[in-house]
Amino acid sequence: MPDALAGRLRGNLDVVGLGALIVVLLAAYSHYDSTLFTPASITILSAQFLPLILAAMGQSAVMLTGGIDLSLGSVLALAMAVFAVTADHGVPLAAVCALAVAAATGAVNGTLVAFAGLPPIIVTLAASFLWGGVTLIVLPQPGGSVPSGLVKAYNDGWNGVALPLVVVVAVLVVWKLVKTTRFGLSLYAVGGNEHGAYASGVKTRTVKISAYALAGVFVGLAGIGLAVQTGSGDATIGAPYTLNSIAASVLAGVSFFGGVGQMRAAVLAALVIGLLTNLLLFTGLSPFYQLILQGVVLIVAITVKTFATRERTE
Amino acid sequence: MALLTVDRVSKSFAGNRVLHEVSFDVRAGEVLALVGENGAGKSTVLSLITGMQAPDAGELRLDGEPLRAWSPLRARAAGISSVHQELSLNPHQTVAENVFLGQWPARRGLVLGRDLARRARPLLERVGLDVDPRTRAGRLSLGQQQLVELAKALVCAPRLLILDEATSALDDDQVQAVFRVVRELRAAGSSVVTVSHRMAELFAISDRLTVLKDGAVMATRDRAGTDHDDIVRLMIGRELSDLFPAKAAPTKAATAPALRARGLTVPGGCAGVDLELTPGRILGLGGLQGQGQRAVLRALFGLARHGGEIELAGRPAKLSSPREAIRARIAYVPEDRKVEGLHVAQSVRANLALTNLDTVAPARRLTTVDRNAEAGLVADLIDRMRIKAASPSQEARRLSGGNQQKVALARWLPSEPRVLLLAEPTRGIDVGTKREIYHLLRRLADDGVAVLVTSGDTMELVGLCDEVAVMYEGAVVERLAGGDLTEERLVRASVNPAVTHA
Ligand SMILES: Nc1ncnc2c1ncn2[C@@H]1O[C@H](COP(=O)(O)OP(=O)(O)OP(=O)(O)O)[C@@H](O)[C@H]1O
Ligand SMILES: [Mg+2]
Repeated sequence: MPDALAGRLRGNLDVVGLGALIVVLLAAYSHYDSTLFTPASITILSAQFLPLILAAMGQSAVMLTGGIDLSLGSVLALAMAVFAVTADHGVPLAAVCALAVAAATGAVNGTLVAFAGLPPIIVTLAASFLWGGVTLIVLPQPGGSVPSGLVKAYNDGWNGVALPLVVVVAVLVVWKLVKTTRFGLSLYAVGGNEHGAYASGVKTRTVKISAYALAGVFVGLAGIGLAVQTGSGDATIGAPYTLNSIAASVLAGVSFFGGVGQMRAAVLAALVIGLLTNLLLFTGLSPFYQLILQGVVLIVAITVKTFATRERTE
Repeated sequence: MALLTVDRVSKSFAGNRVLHEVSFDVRAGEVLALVGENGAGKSTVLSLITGMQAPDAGELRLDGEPLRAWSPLRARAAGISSVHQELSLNPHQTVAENVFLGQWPARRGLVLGRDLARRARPLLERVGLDVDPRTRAGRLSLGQQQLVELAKALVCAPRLLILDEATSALDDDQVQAVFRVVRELRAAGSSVVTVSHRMAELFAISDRLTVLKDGAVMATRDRAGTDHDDIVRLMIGRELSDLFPAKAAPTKAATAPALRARGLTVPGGCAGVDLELTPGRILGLGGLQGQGQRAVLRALFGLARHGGEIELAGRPAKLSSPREAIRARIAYVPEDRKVEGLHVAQSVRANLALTNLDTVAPARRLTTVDRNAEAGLVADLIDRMRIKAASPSQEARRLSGGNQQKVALARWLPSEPRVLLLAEPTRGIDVGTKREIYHLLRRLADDGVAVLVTSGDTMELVGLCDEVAVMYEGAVVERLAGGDLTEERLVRASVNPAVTHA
């Protein structure tokens, strides 16, 4: 029993620690922006943070299998472009197209990883060029048209409801369900001990392909969110999301080796990174120093987190 | 009627022939033992049955039907489950999740943790394992993990259970639990194929024994029609005399200890342990599995934070990291060779040379590795320990289990340690090599090394050690030496320390 209790505490240390960090960041933030806790601010900020949150969830899903996705930024931009280009024909159709494309790219990535036996880092690096090129074909110039009503409702609130926030909560609930299905358990099993899972009759390849496809759906949603937030598509806007999503996942305690990590923590970590970026903007420091500071804060945060949650060796 | 027929099966890896026209069958309701030296091909033949690998030639038949497009998934669906030599648990998931790995019972698509734990309990009970099903598997000891593997194999009521050294990390009590399961299965008409290097276990449980040597079947014998010597002769092709070397002469006890520990304490591991490791003597740590033996060894090698006093050759010393321990010429062969003992992805050569860089890179200023010296050293060790590898450049993880263990031990020899700590030194090692290792340890002791071994094998402790300290719940409860050191006394002290104390 004490084992289970300690395990539960340790498991939530990630979430608790990140929550504390967010409280600190919010306190600092409200110092610069006194309107922070008004509904309007919350809506705007959640619209701004949504893409990174979803990207971090996609990255985490892949990392849970022991993989990594360097093509995430390209796929995000591709989904954004597809959505922006097809939005004329109705938003639901555009959303379905964008998600289908993103899921398909994920499935392709996953298939290459599962069958070619190549390291995910190489496969997805190559894929990032591939999907980047495809995006430029779909949308050579920034543009496309997202209905302005939707853009307004999304950024300013729809009848007082922050839509991006609703999306995040909905996706978290969906993940919670996915995690308790056989697929969810196999995902963790493959990440924790792939050979053992295979020897126990788990279809490890199918699991990997599905995980990458699921990540594609998350990233596709992020792309759609970004398109709606900005009102158009831009083929080059995705790049920073790749590394930021990895940073968020690591900060959240998702292991590079797979099998360990929680989505809740990934969401909070993405929030930390988003808040931190904004906060550094407020300081008015030169962008160079902002980058340095951001790096330092991340390293400190990850180090502290690692020490706090480290397994006690007997 | 044969349940499973293995018919003239051959298998090679990169031109290295591992199985050559192997044939045997498994009858319904029998326990068949597969016996053979390390690297004889036992695990390989089992991997064909479980669908982990496909034969190059030959055929396997289940109920007379040839196996086609075989895979672990299909094998499992056909009622074949297995406990692999290498553990297949996911350390990050709970025991219950591991027990049902790949076949989690779902209700409306969802797998409920409570439900899993409830269903796992009777299975864990059946294998004699008393742990909370919700603990993470990685927190269990190796032996407990092995029992979880067994519970996992029982989930789908197997027709054929394959046990590849499934008892190697278990103590006597736990082995009895495994035997009970095997007998239940046999009584229910299921079959069991078992592999073990503990010969006594094989004779206790099997109906027939099939002997493999260098990838070919030497013979299949009924248990009633054979004995230990006969099997060993078939296995290694010669007689095996005196398994254990003679013990140290009692006069040597007067020498000053190389290492003395007083009140050695590792939080959550052991408490107040006093030990004296004397040159020329082999001290054993006995007792049930998981009573703190591992903690003692890890502390003495600087791997576990510990309290208490340690003296090296009479002088107080601190062992706070493996580096310091190595500098004090302490060597440690760990229990889990894959985590602490070997670089599994590296070659046999690299593994053997790594701990001996001083020997092979003598040019202090340039400190490049002298390839000739390295090749010589490696060849010598491979020869001395009879490591069976395709070549020194073979990856360590491609070696058979027993040969990996030999590499883990061999890599320490050239550094001439003063204190040698070994956890389960002969786990998964065949009798012929066991004998060599026992004699080697005794030779090392005679040359002035102080040796400390833990072992779950009672016979081994009694046969090999000059003295055995029996541990229970982290403390030494009994010390047996000389005429007191018998299997019976050792078992009694292990399971029921209070009684022997009184
Ligand atoms: N994947 C592989 N690649 C190359 N060689 C291999 C591979 N698997 C096994 N071998 C070789 O096949 C031989 C037989 O190995 P196997 O694991 O079947 O032996 P074993 O009888 O189970 O031995 P042990 O008792 O030590 O477990 C060994 O020499 C090993 O090096
Ligand atoms: Mg084997």
